[in-house]
Amino acid sequence: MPKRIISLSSAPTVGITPGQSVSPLAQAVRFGNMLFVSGQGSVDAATGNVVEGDIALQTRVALDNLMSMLAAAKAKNVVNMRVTLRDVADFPLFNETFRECFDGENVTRTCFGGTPNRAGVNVQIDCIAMFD
Amino acid sequence: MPKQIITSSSAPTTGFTPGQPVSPLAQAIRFGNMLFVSGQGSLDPATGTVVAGDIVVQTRQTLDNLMSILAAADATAKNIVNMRVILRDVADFPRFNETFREYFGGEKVTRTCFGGVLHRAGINVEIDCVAMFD
Repeated sequence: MPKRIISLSSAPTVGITPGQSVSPLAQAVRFGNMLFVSGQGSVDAATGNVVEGDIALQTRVALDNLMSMLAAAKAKNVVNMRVTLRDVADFPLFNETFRECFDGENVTRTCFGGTPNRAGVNVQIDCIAMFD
Repeated sequence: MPKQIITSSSAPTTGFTPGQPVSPLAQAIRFGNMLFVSGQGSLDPATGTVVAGDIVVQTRQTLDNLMSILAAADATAKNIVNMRVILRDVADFPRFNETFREYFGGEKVTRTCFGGVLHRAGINVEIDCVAMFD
């Protein structure tokens, strides 16, 4: 049951050091019936540039990137998510945007205030999904 | 299928309250084909004291501790599927990331990194991981 690297050109490369084009990371890894997705932010998939905007916009872009990874891995069952907000005052708007994106699907989630390492990124989200 | 506590004498004990000799934590737990490793920092395995130094030194010591615990569970970096990294100062990210890259020798993992406040003074990076077995 090997570790399988999932990569997708329509989601941004994660974990890039400025000036280095190759990341030491995988966007996602599948092992058996589990899928782990690296933290996604509000980054343009094609250019790798930060998508600026309020927390609603940034949350949508981060979740779009995450959902692209899930789609590439054909995963549907998100079981756990971790969210880092640069400013926890953004929580209500983040949470309402999150709710819209999940459309009734319930997940477990832990959210805390922290500093995403990339300037301009105000929300970072990762997840664990499982396969039937 | 019991929860199995993994202990390595080549890695520091984690989760100490100052003045208390016994930690409430395990360095790692294996359950079935999964291994969860507690957050590691730049600590000397023998003395438990902070190994001071720049982010390169601290990243190496932290990953050495993590890998020692993986070894105690008969795992290597190849088994790692997910990592969480907390940096005290995200300005350290580029040098952290390049040191991380050297350690992994091309082995890819998922990782989420963010800036946060580490509870132990002098520790500037903390890393945990999840690993899986065939």
